[in-house]
Amino acid sequence: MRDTSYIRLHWFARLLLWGGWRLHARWIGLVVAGSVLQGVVAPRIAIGTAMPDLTLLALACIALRTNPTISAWAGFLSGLIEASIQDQLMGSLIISRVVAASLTAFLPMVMAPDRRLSAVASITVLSVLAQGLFYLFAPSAVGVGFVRTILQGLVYNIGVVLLAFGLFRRLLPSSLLEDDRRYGTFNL
Amino acid sequence: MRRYLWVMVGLALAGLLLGVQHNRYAQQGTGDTLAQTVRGIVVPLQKGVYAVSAGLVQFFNTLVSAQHAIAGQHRLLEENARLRQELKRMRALQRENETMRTLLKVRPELPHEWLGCRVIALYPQQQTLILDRGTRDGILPGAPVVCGEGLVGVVAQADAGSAIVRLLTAPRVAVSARVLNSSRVSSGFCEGRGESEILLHMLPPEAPVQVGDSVVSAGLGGKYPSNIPIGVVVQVWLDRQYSLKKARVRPYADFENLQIVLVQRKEHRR
Repeated sequence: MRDTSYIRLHWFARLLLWGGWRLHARWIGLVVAGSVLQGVVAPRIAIGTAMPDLTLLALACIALRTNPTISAWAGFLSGLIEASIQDQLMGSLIISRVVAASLTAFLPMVMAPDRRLSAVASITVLSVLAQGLFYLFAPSAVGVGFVRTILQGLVYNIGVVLLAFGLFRRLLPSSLLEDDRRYGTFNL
Repeated sequence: MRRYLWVMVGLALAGLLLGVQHNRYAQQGTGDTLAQTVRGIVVPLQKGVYAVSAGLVQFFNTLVSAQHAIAGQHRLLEENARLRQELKRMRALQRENETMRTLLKVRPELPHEWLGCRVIALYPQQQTLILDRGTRDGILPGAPVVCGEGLVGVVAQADAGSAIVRLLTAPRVAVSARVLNSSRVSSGFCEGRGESEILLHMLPPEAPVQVGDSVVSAGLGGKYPSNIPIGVVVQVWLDRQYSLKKARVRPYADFENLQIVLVQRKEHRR
């Protein structure tokens, strides 16, 4: 006999009522914004040859404030966008970003994600992993000035993360992660 | 924990497959649909951000430099007068050149049509630029890109409303070149290596190349027009293994501050 004790809502109604979309909208927005601004704004705010990597900055923030699953998806999306814009190195960029973002997202197991210094550790680990893996996968595309370039970018990124950590904390508050735990990632 | 690792491995494998598929499309010379779709979403956003940021920068620059602009106008008027004189002299030289070509029966170079484009995004680490014009305006892959100072690079991929340019410094970008030395002109190949300077190689060992010599495009192969300035020689050495001279060349173009570039449109053959 058919159970009529509950009403199953239409998928669109379930999507609207689903609590997890706010978190996903925010991290996707952050990744897209980072990727869009990287090509346009980052060269304009470069100090000498040191240029921030806004995509890695967004990924570090996501890795610190969410979980490894979301971080892996964020890494995938950022790698896909950046490789598509430049029309090169699709596999190298995606794999390096996915692995680096996932591993960095395990940092909150050993440090408090609300601390500013944790953000510094996050961007440092993420930059070294992402750029190092990228260099391993595509050394000829990166060139011999690689170490100097990433060190300059890393120092710039640490400066930016120290200044803008409050903004990142507002963009991805802990309450959203609670929603995600309650409703599940991509669990409609 | 295990679930997290599986997601990471799954997405990394998906990335690997996408990379393989992208490379296959690139080898076939066809566009990757996924990459084109992503570009179709992101590049218009970049154009919007570029327009807003350029407007803001222009506004603040106007406020700051109004006084300098007035002084600059007088300087520009003087320069304009000087350049007019120069232009007259160049026209006379061009006429003389044409006469000599006719006498020597040398076929004139095909005319090139250049289109001004704005640089909307720059990726110095990957030696890539994004321009605001594409196939709709007659820009095709393989077209050379120049700026006021000299050669910038080559169009690697063109969509309807945007184009991707690989800089001269990018690996696998090569251009035939000539070194203009006071005693003798030598030919070789300039090749990007992913760093700020480019490598000039395949020079004969007896080539009298010196630090400070100018390097221009040779025009061999027909991809790049001849006599476009490339850069200046900053270091020369003899590669004893291959008995060839090599040189390091610093490009004239300042790749990190490019705003407007010229791209060669599809040639109109006579």
